[in-house]
Amino acid sequence: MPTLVERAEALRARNRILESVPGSGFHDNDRDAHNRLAAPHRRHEVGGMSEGSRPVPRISENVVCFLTARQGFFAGPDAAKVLTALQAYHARQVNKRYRDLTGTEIKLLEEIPLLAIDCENLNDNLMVWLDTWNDYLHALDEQGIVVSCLPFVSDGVNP
Amino acid sequence: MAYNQFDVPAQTVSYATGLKTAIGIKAATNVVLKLMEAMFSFDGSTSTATPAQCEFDQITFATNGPGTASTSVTPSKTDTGRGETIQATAAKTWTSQPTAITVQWPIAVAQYNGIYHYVNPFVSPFICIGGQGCGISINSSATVNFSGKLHAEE
Repeated sequence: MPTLVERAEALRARNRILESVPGSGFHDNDRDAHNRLAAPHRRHEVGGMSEGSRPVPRISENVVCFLTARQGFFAGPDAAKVLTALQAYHARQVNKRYRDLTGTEIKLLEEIPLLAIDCENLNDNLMVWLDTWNDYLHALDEQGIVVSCLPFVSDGVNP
Repeated sequence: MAYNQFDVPAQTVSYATGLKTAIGIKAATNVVLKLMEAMFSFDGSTSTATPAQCEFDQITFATNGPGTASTSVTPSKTDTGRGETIQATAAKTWTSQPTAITVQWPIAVAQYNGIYHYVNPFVSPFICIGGQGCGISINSSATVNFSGKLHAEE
């Protein structure tokens, strides 16, 4: 049975194939009906669909989270990447005036320092509870990291 | 936690022909979701283009839940001061359709700057049970950009 790290790599490999297929929506030269660059990782460029917006990575660079009904797990290198990004987000927010923070930012300031990578189980995993999933998604968005998800127990359709 | 309202946006997503789920929300386990608005538009520039066939769907998300074969979206709270986290998960731009889909209502919308905005009557919101959800699927006759949102409460 493949490990979580192997399944994450398999998903990124599948995404690399999507990026290599013109017309998939993820190919470098895909364009919209107005001839603007349409691939998510090129939309911020001059001539892109969302010129000047915050850049996002290629889908083959997304971190992968494995979801159960109540928890999400990042494994191996993804866990380290996500934890580093969340800590960087925390370092940026901690200097803001409290009254300027949104409810989500206040919550993240309290929660991020409690995160740690579990080095004993499941390929060095970082576990997040799904009841705060959207908070972490917001912080990772801010740090330029996009998350792909897979079911923790493979559904037989996806890696 | 109640009355926590939010939007799930998808901005200028380019779609080629073929049926694709454009935006979707999945309610968290044991948390019912009340969908109150669905809105989307196209920015096509050919007035003779055949209208896109669009659907509002019930989706069980047995496979390809939000984030799987799709791009995760962070729901935007309408009350930004609240600390409670939106429990539902959301995504846009499915590359493989989620299962299982039941069409709730279909509509043909013009690709030439067509727009559709449905606000559920206060007395009859669309309810998603815990662990299941809903979404908007589109099937355009040519490549066209889609922008839209779902507005919900949990």
